[in-house]
Amino acid sequence: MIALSMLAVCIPIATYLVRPQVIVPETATERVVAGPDFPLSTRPLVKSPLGSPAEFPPRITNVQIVDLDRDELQDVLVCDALQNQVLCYRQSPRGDWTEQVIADNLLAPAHATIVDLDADGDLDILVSVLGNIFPDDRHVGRVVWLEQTGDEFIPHVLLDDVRRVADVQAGDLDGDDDLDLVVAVFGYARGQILWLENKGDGQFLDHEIHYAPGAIHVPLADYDGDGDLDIATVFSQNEEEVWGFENLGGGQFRSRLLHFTVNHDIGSAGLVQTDLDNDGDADLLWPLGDNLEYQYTHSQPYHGCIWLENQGEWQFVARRIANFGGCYAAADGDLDADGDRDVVLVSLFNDWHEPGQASIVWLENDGQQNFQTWRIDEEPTHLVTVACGDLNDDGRDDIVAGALHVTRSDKDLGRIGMWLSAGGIAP
Amino acid sequence: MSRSIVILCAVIACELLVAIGLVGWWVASDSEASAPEPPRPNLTFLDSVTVQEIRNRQEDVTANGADGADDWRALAEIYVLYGFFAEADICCQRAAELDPEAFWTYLWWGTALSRIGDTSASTEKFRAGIPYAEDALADVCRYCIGLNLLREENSQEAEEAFRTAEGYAPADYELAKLLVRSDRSQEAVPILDGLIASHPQTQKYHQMRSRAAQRLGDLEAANDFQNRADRATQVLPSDELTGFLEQQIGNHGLDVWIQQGKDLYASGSLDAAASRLRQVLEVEWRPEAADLLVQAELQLGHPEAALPILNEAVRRSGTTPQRLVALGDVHHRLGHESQAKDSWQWATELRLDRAAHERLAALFEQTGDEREAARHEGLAQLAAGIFAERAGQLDSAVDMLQQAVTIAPELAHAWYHLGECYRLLDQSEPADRAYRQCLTLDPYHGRAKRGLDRMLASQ
Repeated sequence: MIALSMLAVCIPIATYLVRPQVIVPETATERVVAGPDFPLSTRPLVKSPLGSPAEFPPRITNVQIVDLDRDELQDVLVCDALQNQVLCYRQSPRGDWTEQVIADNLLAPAHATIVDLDADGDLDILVSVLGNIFPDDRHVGRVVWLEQTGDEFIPHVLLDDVRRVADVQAGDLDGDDDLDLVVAVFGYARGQILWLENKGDGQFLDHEIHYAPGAIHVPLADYDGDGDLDIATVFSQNEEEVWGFENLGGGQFRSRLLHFTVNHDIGSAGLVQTDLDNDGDADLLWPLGDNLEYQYTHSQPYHGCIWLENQGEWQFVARRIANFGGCYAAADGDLDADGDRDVVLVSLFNDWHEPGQASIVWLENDGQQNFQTWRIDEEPTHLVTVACGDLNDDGRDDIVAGALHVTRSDKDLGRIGMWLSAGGIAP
Repeated sequence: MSRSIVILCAVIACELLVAIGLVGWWVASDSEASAPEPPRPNLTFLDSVTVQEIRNRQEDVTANGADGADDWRALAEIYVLYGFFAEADICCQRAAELDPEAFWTYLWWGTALSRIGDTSASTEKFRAGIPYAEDALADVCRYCIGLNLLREENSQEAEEAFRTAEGYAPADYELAKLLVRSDRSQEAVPILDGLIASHPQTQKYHQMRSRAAQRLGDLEAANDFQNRADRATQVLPSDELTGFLEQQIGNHGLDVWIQQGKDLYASGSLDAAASRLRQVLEVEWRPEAADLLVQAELQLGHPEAALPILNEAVRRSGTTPQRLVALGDVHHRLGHESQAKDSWQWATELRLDRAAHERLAALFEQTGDEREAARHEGLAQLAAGIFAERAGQLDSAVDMLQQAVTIAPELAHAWYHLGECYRLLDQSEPADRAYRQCLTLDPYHGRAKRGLDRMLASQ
C-alpha cells in the first residue's frame, strides 16, 4: 500500500522532471568582432561637425589643419571628391567657421599640399587629382597648382596624361634652391613615382624614379641624415612595401626597400612622416586596414598601425603600435600636452554593426613609445583622413577627420568632424 | 484486494497513461522544435530586392528542415556575398553536418572564415574540401590555403601550398612572387615565362617578370617587360578569391536587375531597358543604372525624361565627364545649344574626353569656327589614339595620332604618343621625329625625353 502510494506520487513528479527543455529558435547570431573594444578616452574632447551636413554619401578624401590666410588662426583645408572641390573652412574669429571654395573642377582630388611654390610669400596649394575615385587604370590623373594671388587661387596644370595621382610633395631635391615635386602616381594596376624638376616659370620636367602601382603618399624628409631630402613611399595593391629613395644629388636616387610583408591583405592605407620617439630622425607611421577591394568588408586582426622606427643607415624597425579594424589614416600630435607625440587613427571599415566599435581612436604615448589606445568616438563612421593641430589655441592638439562612403551603409552620414580639446590651456 | 488498493492502481494506471502521452507529445514536438532555425542577421542596410532573396533562402531552409544541406549552403553563399560571414559560418557548419562530402560547402566555409580573419580555421575548411574536389577545384583550395598562410606571414608553408597547386596560374604567380621577393628570381623566371606564354596579355605577369629581371641585373629585359606590362590589356583582380566574390555578387539581388537592364539596352530593347532601370532606381539609388537610363532615354528621344535623372546623378554621385557629355546631349536635343556647349566644354576642362571634343568639333564646324573645330577634332583624335595605344592597337593608334598632329600640330602630347607608338613598332626614324617635335613644342616633356633616350640607347 505504501509502495503503491509512493508510486502514485512519483509518476507525476518523474514525468515533470523528464520534460524536455524549451528550445528557443535561434533568430540572431552574435557577430565575430575582430577589433578590440577600446576604453573610452578620458581626455575631454568636444565633438562638432564642420561645414554643411551630408545630404548624400560624402567623399571627403583629405583634411588638413593650416593657417592658410596667415591670420594666426588655424583653418581647415578639405578635398571633396563628390563636389570635385578644394575647400577651406576659415576660422575667423576664433570658433566661427566660414566655407570658401578654393577651387573646383578638380576630378576627385585626393590630397592637397600647402607650399609657397613660387616663393612670393603666400601659401599656394598643390592638388593631387585622381581623375576617378574608383579603380581606373587610364591616364586620368593630374597635378594642379593653385597659385594664391590675393584672395584668388589660379589653377595651373603642372602634369597630366598620367594615371591617378594620389599625392604630391614639394622640396628642393636637386639642391638648386627651388622647389621640386615628387608625385605618387597611384594608378590602379600600373603606376609610378615621378619627380618633377623645377625649371622656373611654373615649368617642370618629369623624371621616373620607380615603376609600380599603388603609391599612396610620398613624404619627404632627410631620412639618412645627410643633409638633403629623400623620399619615402608605400606601395599598396597587394605589394605592401615601404620604399625609400635615397637622394644621391644631381637628381639621382637610389631605391631602397625598407620593409615589406608577404601579407597581401594587410591593407596599406598611407604613410606619415614623424619623429615619433623624438630622437631627431625621421620615422614613419604606416596605417593598415584598406579593404576596398571587397564590397562587403570585415575588419581583420592585422589591421592597425605600424611605427617604422628609423635606426639610421636606412634601417627601419617595424613596431606595431595598435590593432584597429579598418584603419585608414594616421596623424601625430600632442593631444595631452605632455611633450611627446601621440597618434590618432581613423577607421573606414570597422565592424559598425557592433556597438562600441570606434571610428576614431588616439594612442597615448607614455614617453617611452608604449601606447595605450583610447576610443574617441564611434561616429561619424567611414573615416579616411585625419589631421591634428591646435585649432582653439589652448596648447593641446585638436583633431579633424573626414568621411568617405563608397560602400553601402545604414549609418548616419557624417562628413567632417572636429574634436576639440576642452581641458583648458595646457601648462 | 482492498478497495483503496484498486483505486490506487487505477490512479497509477491513469498517471502512467498521461505520462506516456505527455512524453510522446514532448518527443514529437522536441524533434520538430530542435530543427535549427537559420541565423537571421540585420538586413536593414540592404535593398529590398536583395533582402527578399535572402529571406527566400532563409525560408527554404526552414521549409526543408533538417534535410536540406543544399539550402543551408545556398544561404551560406548569399551571406558570404553580403558580408554576413559569422552567419555563413553557422550555415556551412549545418550543411556539412547534413552532407559531409559536399565540396562547395567547404569552399564557401573557408571563404567565410577567411573574410572574418580566422585564417587557421579557414585553412582547415579548405583542406577538408580537397578530398571532395575535382582536380582543378582542389588547386583552388590549395591556392586559398596559400593565401591564408601569406596572411599569417608564414611564407615558407605558403610556398609549399602554392607548389602543390602547380599549373594553376594564380598559384604559380604567387609562388613566383614569393621567389622574387626572397632573392630567388632565377627560379621565378621560368614560372613567369610560362605564365606569360599562356597569358600574353596579363599585365601583372609582365610586371613581376620585369621585377625579376631587375633583381637579376638585366635592366634591358626589365624595361622591355615594363613596356609590355604598361600596354597589356588584361588586368586581373588583386587575387582570385576577390575576383570570384565580385563575379558572384553580380548574380544576386538588385545587381541582377541592373544586368537585365544592361542586356536589354545592349540588345536594342530600349523601352524595356528603361523600364527595368527605372525599377532599379525605385528600389535604390544606383549610379550605374541611372547613367544607363539616361542613355536609353536619350536614344528613345526623351531628353526631357533624361534631364532629371542626370541632375540627380550629379547631385548624388558627383560630376563626371561622362555625365557632362550626356548633359550636353540632353540640352542639344532640347535645342539649348548654348547650354550644350557649356556642358561639353566643362567636360573637357575635367580631362581629355573624346566624346566631348567630338561634339564640340561638330558644333564649331556648324557655327563656322573652323579653328576651334580643328582644335577639338585634333584633341578627339588624340584621345582616341591614346586609347588605342593603351589597348595595344598600335597601327590604329598611329593613324589617329597622325590625324591629330595633322589637324593640330601644336599638340605636344600627340607627338609624344606618336613617338611611343613608332618606337614600339620598331620604326625608329618616325619615332625620332615625333619625339623631337614633342620636345620642340614642350622642352620639359620628360616622358618624350625618356622615350627618345631609350630608343637611342637600344640602337
